[in-house]
Amino acid sequence: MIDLLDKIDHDYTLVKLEEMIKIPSIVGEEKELAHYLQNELDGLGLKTELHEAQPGRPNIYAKLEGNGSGKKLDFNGHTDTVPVVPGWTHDPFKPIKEAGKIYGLGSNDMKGGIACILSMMRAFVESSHDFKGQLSFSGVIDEEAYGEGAKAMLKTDWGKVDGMVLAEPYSATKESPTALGITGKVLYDIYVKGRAAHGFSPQYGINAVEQAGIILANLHKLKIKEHERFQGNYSTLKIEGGYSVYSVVVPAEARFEVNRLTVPGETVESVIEDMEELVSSLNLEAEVEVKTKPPLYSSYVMEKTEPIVQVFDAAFREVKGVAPHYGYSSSITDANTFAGEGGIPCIHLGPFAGGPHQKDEYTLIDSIPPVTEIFTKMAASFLE
Amino acid sequence: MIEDVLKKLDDSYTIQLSEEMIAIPSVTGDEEALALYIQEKLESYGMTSELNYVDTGRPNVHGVMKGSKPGKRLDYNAHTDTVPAGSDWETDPFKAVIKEGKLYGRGACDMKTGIACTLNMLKAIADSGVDFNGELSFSGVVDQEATDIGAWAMMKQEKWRTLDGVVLTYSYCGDETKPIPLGLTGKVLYNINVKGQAAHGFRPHLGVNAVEDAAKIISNLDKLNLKEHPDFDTGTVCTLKTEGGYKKYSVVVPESARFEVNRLLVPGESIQYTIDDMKRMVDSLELKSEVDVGVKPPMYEPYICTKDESLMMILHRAYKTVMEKEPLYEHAYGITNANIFQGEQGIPCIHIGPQRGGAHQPNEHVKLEWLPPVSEMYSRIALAYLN
Repeated sequence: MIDLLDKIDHDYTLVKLEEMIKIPSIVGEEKELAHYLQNELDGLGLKTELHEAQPGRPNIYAKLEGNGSGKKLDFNGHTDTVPVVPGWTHDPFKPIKEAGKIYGLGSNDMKGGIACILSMMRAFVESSHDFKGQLSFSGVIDEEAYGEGAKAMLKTDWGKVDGMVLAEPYSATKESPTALGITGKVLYDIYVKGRAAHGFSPQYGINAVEQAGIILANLHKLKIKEHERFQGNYSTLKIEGGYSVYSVVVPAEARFEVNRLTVPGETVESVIEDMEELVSSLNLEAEVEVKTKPPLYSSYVMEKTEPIVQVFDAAFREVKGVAPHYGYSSSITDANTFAGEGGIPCIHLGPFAGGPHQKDEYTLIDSIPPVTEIFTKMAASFLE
Repeated sequence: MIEDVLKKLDDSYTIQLSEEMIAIPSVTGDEEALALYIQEKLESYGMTSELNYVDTGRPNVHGVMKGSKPGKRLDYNAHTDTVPAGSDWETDPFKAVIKEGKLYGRGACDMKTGIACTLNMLKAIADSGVDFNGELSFSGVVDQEATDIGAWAMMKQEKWRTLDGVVLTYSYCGDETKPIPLGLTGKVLYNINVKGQAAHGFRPHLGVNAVEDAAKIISNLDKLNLKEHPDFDTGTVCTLKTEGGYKKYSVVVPESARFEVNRLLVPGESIQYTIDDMKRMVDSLELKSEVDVGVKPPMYEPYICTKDESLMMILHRAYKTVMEKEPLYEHAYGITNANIFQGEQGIPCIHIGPQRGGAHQPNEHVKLEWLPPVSEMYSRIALAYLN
């Protein structure tokens, strides 16, 4: 273990982060970064595989096999970033180090975390540290959109692991607690079909917009399930209905979308049923079709007794000298897929989050080495 | 002396004019060519004509024929614009086709044959040399199928604002398809903007959802105070459109929403009352959003008239004589330029014209059998009113 930790090269981590910032990988265009990662991991001597999760958009997987059978642990990062938002004061694809910060698109979300994983893998290779089972890396596409990379991975053997560490920018501090669970999400897509008539004689038609209005005005009657740690909720995101070119006609169609956060115990099926029951209780004249749109995410919750949580807790205390902070989150990550759908216990930890999804994204350079160290200790301990 | 005029009516002339006018497209916004055509006809009957440009390339057209002695002033009013041709026509919409007693084309009933019957009547009166008192005029206004800038502009002119009566040559033919209006509803188009507060869609309690607040208003429209009128009953309320929320998918509590509601007013409900009524209802909901109750053109005051008004009595008699039956009447849910002439300006109005077929639809047409009696009724009404 001492040898393993000695082999961590924090300069290597930073160099890899800078190289990755220089490779744009805005959601949809993850291919070049996947090839870069494959090349790097091949160079370290790992077995790698590209897997087209979507046409032209590969996930990258790599593994080190231990000495003898044992558990499988995967360190995961998403290779995509959000698009460049307006207001950047310098080139978002040029890493700049200044006053203890490193700037660049993806610097914390989440190329910084991926650099820590690479650095940990390198230390395992360099030290020839003895472990059981399998230590793997997965770089998945599309997290900032529909999470298609994670969903694709779960269908392969790479997704059959005993624990996962998502190198997302959660510091496990009071300000940025790491999640013991995340709410799920369903996006209702509701069509209301009425009947057109002249707008001066609305009694001869069925006004789809007004019928949609009645549903929206009654959303508080949805049966949001109580949960001791989470609060489910709903929010209408969009509505459209009525004429395109001015005409005095009773609208025959309306459509609206409602986002609903779900808590453990609620499923896609149960929340669709809940909405259907609400709609039918209103005795509307219009026909109403309750559908959902991607992205859909399942909720999950873990106990602190999970082995992955335990090894994380111990490694964090050893490296940082303080206890990690835990929370229950309503921010969706790929853990909703891995844990929520795949049942794989997941931990989130990564470098400091300086303005993810915002202009002039950065991370603190000092926040990077402890993450690599915690990852390394967790892997060694989980795969002992 | 009416006989002298009736002898001069020429129904083939009405058809010829209808065909020529259908061949001059005059979709709203593009009325100039038709106005120039009509002006030439009016001049040829010895009338004093004028074009009144309401907007670039969009003139109202007027013609006046003076009687030998002073007297009342009666105007025959039409709109020169049509709705667009649209699709699914079996014939060219801008080429008149006569088939099985029907004349097809855009504007056939709405309202180029009404104009043709009027011109037939004006020519017959001019050709007969019949004497009358006062003034007989024609007005063709633009933009009736949109926001009526033509009729509004006409009422800004002193000489038209002081007319004694207007015959609107719309397709109210006095049978069950369109009884003669004894008044029309008014109309307000509410344009309501709801301003909430954005927040992440996962934390709706930190925002104010404008779409949901808009829906609360829409679902409470039945709390508007619609006044009852003994003849009209109540007006109607109809949401026409709504929009709110993201353009490109994002999970954000919408901070703005907008919707439009059409409301027909009955006499006793003014435009101002109607705006105030919506504000009162919105206030009663105590929403967190800021709500701006605005209105969009067109807006119209309602009006009502009686069968014993002199122009209405003249219509009744002319109808009975020509159609050999009494016309049907109703307090109508609809909007015409009479809302402006009578509703706003107080000029007595009547509506009479050839029966409509497929107005605003493909294969618009008029039955040719309606043209002679309408020309005759126009002639009888003019001479009776200006005697």
